[in-house]
Amino acid sequence: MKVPGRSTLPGAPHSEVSTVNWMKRQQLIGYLFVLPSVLGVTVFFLIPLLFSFGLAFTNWVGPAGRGLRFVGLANFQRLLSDEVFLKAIGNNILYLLHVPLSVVLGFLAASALNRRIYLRNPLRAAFFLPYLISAIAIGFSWMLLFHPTQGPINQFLMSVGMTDPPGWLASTKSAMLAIIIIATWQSLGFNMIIFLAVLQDVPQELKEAAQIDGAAGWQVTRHITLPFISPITFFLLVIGTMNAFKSFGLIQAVTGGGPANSTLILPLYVYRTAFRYYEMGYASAIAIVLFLIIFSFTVLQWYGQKKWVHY
Amino acid sequence: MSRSKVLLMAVVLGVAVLVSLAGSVVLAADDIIHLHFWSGVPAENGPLAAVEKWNAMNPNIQVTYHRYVNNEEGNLRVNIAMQTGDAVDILMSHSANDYEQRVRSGLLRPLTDRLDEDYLFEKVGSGVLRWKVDGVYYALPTNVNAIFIMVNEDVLRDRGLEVPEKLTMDELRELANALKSDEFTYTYALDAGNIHGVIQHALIDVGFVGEDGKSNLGHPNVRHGLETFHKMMHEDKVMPVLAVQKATNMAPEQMFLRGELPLYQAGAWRLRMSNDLEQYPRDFRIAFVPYPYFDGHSIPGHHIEDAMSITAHCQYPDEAWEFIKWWALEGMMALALGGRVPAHADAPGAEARRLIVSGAEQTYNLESLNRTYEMENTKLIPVPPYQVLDYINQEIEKYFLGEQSIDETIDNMVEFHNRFLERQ
Repeated sequence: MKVPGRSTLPGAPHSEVSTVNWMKRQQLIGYLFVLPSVLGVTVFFLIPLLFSFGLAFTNWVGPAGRGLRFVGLANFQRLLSDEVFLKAIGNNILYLLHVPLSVVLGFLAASALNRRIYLRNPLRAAFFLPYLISAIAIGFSWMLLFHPTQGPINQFLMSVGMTDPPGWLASTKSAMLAIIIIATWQSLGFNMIIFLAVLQDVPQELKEAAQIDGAAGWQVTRHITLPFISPITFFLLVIGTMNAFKSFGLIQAVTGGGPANSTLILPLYVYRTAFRYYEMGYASAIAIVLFLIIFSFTVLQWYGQKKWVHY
Repeated sequence: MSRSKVLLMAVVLGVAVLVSLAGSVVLAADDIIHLHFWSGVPAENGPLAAVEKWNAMNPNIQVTYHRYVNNEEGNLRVNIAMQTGDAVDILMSHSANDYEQRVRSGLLRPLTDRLDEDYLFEKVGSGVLRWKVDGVYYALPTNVNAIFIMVNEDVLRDRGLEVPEKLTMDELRELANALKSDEFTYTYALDAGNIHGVIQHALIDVGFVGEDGKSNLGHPNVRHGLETFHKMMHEDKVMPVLAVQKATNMAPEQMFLRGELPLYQAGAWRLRMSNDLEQYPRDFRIAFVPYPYFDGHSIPGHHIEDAMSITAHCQYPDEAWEFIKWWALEGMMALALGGRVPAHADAPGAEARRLIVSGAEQTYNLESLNRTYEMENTKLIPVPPYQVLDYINQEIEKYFLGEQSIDETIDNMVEFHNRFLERQ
């Protein structure tokens, strides 16, 4: 068998039999090269994942799971009457709000910083900086800002006439709103950078042609820019949604899920159930439900993109 | 690539795998026994000095000290180390819940052949019962973790008041109100993470579970304790609202040492701070009052903690036990400066109590401190499982925020607790 261009490669065989042997050796070498990675993914990801799926149908309790037995769907049945779990789902869906918010604000910031303005580069850096800072540092800073009586936010609100400003992190009614504000602020910079890169690629001639035809600024944005960047918008929404369902550090640092579980989301509840209560079986069941929720949202978004994403 | 190069690569890969496996094999070349001792006390607060003293006295039994942070992550780390047979020979547990999990997972050795209950009751006291699981002891508790209300004695004297010998919940409220003035935003506070203690104190004589196997969270003392705190927060305004305290990271220990808070419910773990007059200078004397109790019920007693166990994987249990005994009688003295007093009756407890205030003795009302250590009719508070504790915290947070009534709070807690008990 002749392989086109093969005879010009160094070390290449010249006969059909030696070509087949050579290809087998090349395949073996390829497999050897990827073997460490495959082993790592299998041992540290796939096997624990499958093990976790199996655990969800057992009563594993305690660090070493003594007295382990199969309990069928009992863990999942328990979820239906677990008010803390149901609250965590509701909180997680509410927490999702920061995703479209940060995407929209990221786009607006990118649009503004895509123009030739004074201090453009320092402003771009300032917007992106929160994304680089650790969740713990961000959490502590915002706790000071959100202080119910002495924080600058409430001080400002009281100065403009609000007599009963929100308790923010000290109130079950406003704690999740405070978390959404912090999460939006933190992720806005990342979205801005991505949009900034894509906006550079929007064909100028299309925009100029539209302007010549009498299109106003907003019409150019709506009919040219937004469709052009729709794939990346879709990407940011999907990734943002997945991250929102996996978020842990920020809420753990700022509120720990309180007050009164008003900011408790599913990843925190999984962590608490597994590593504080050592109810590994039940925690695995919650993790499976979380996986199904993320999967469903992703599928919904995937089918929904046909309506508004232009490739 | 030639065959020889492929072969060479395979050999290199194989050697790399073998070397990494071989790295875990330790070849002992001498007769010295090495033990690994894990505890949650920072090394510089006494354990390292104690271990070094033991090592000097026992050249054939060398102990290495490891510190783990006594929180979820730290306890998880030490549990995984024990599960994987890692170097954990002697473990000090600080929480009864974590200890029980370890016992039920078979990670700790029973000490039935080394300890009996009569000995423990005689030498340590009834507080050892907290460390009994299914009728067996798996640990020797070594520390009397004293609990008390720290009182700014100067403020009391200014109001013409004496340091009380004990306080009921109602008397605590009266005292907090008596100290109210423009000088203080609040007159009483405790660490936000310990506020569920009011329920533990309420059930001190009956426990969380009744003889019928049902929840005791509906006990009248629970209602009384919660309502008292609620009034102190919202009517009297002498105590910070819980959610505000948590959301603002309010540090009552700092407020107390700065003279901004006259009554601070804490314990011996705060003496390390109050002894440090350089970092926390103060010009007032500190007196001590036992935790408030419910009329007709026992006074909350000091916690008997720092329970030392031999792990299931320990290959030298006899030597580990020798170390534990020495620690309980002598080693603990090195930790006295950090507020730890040996629990064992044969240890020099009086000397330790002198050391826990060392360097700042003149700034304390030592008579009141000794009184808390010698108080009679005290009892250890019951400790519920974490699941119940977290639910209690959730419900009392809502109650203290004014988002639900006391009846709703108690009904929810009782219902959740009963459901939890049914699942056990």
